[in-house]
Amino acid sequence: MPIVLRYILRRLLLTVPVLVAMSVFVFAIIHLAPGDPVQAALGLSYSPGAAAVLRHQMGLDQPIVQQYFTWVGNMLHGDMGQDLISHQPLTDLLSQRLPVTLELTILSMGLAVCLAIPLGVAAARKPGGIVDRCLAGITLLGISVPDFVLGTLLILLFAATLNWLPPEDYVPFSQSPGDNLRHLILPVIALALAEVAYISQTTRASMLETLQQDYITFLRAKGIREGVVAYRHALRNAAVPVVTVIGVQFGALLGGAIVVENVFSLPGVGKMIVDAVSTRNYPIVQGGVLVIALIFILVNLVTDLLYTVLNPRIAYGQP
Amino acid sequence: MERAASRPGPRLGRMLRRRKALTGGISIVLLLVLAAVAAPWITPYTYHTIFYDAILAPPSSSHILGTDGLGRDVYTRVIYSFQISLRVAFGSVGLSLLLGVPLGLLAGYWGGLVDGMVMRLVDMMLAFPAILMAISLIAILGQGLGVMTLAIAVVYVPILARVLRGSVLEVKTAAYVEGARARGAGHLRLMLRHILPNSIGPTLVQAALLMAFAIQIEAGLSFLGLGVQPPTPSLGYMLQENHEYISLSPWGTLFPCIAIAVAVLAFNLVGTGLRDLLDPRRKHG
Repeated sequence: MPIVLRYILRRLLLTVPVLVAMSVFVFAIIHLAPGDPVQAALGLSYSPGAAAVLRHQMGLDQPIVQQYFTWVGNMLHGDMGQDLISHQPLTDLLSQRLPVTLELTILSMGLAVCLAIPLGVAAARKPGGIVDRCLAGITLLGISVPDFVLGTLLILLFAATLNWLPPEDYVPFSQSPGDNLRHLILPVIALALAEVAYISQTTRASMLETLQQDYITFLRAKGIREGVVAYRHALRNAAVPVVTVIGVQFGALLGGAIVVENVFSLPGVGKMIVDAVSTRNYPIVQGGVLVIALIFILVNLVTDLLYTVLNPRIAYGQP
Repeated sequence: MERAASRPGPRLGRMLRRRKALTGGISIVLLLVLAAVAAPWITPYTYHTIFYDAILAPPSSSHILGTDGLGRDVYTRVIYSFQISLRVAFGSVGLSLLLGVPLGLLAGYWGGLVDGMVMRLVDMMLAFPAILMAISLIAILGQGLGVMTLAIAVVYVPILARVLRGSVLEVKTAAYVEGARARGAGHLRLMLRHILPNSIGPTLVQAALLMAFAIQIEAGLSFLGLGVQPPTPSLGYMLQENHEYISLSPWGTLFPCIAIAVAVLAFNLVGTGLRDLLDPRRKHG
């Protein structure tokens, strides 16, 4: 179908200006921030001579536009700069910390989806029933209690009071899968609850609408069992808004992960960024923001494309 | 949905009584605003007074919500924190409405190039999760109430502009707009007198929901130490301060948590209540 293909290509092309704008903004962070990076790097050993040498080394004496392109070029070659204090290459730091953040977000979204979709479907099949009412209560909690607040409360209950689970820290999966999961249970639940609220509500609303369609009545009249009707037929057609909301919420999840990582002292990208802002370690702020924004843009792109796959009519309607 | 012409009094009262979520939400918000404004009168101490003999104390008659790790009265600090949270919530959403409404109105009305440019700008700004954008701006501009309000407003402007643009696109094809244009109404009059009042609904709903989110963002940023500076109290910062004492005494952590949840819930109720109110499919009372 050439029209759908054309839409997909257009959508991919539209991502480019967004990426460029984002990179300009991230690049600007270091240059708009107060303070002189050369002074910060030299610290006590500052002298005009050394400063000039370092300035030339860091490429800061070039016109700003050229600096931008140098930075982008370096980035594409895998050189993202160095930590101002420890001089560790950023790529090393990120390769250590990114898996933590990714594990946290993927587990949270996975848990949320596994809980929310069945709950939403069940609530839609019997509106006003017990599942529906329980879900309404959970939803209220999920949208009102911020994820890091829930995380703190969970620590209060399960770690401080009951002592069932550890309150912080992280163990890599390769070291000990069991401990890795034990440390992640509370943060994952904290992040997942809000997502369960949104995703289940969207699933429920969409399923309610779909179940009223004529073809559903026809399938029931044919004698097909309720469960099969709901899951194999109705859900596929109700899926589109659900996919959209999952994609949108992933961004919110990334944002939430930044704070939750700090609550539970998880060594992820979020905690890295926040620590770096406090210590004015701007290259790290740059690198971290860049990575997270990239992931976010990527997820949005995939969601949009998935949306087109599920509902090709969107390719015809868009201006 | 044209504006009603008759006396607003009795209809408003009847309408509010039917809509429990909206009334409940508005009541709680008003209560919080009142508490924040009346803080000096309804609190027994100041928020930085230290009680050396009552550190991490549980709730008692002299400290109704207990004391925190530094011996300060939790109740007093919570009430004063509402001042910050509410100022950020109203300030950021107010500012973003001020900028976002004209943007969305113009984009929706003029269409074409203006619309295209505004929407590309919106897309670019939405390339960041809200908190990340706020953190980046704070990294550049420094900390404080003003910066936080500005950072959150920057994130919200594209969201509100987009919602309004959508409504304007729908409304501008309506019959009464055509009629007004036929009667010789100019662009400005059309936009302000006819299109805006009838398309602003969903944007206001979104604004209420964004106020709820602003409270969360403020709490989150303060928790990370990127919000208002001590000794100014903030709910998020209270969570951070008392985090290490959590096993010794939960009070400094528990009550700010509840306070945040109540504030967020209140604005969410207002938002969903407004949304139900404006939904054309509901029968009017």
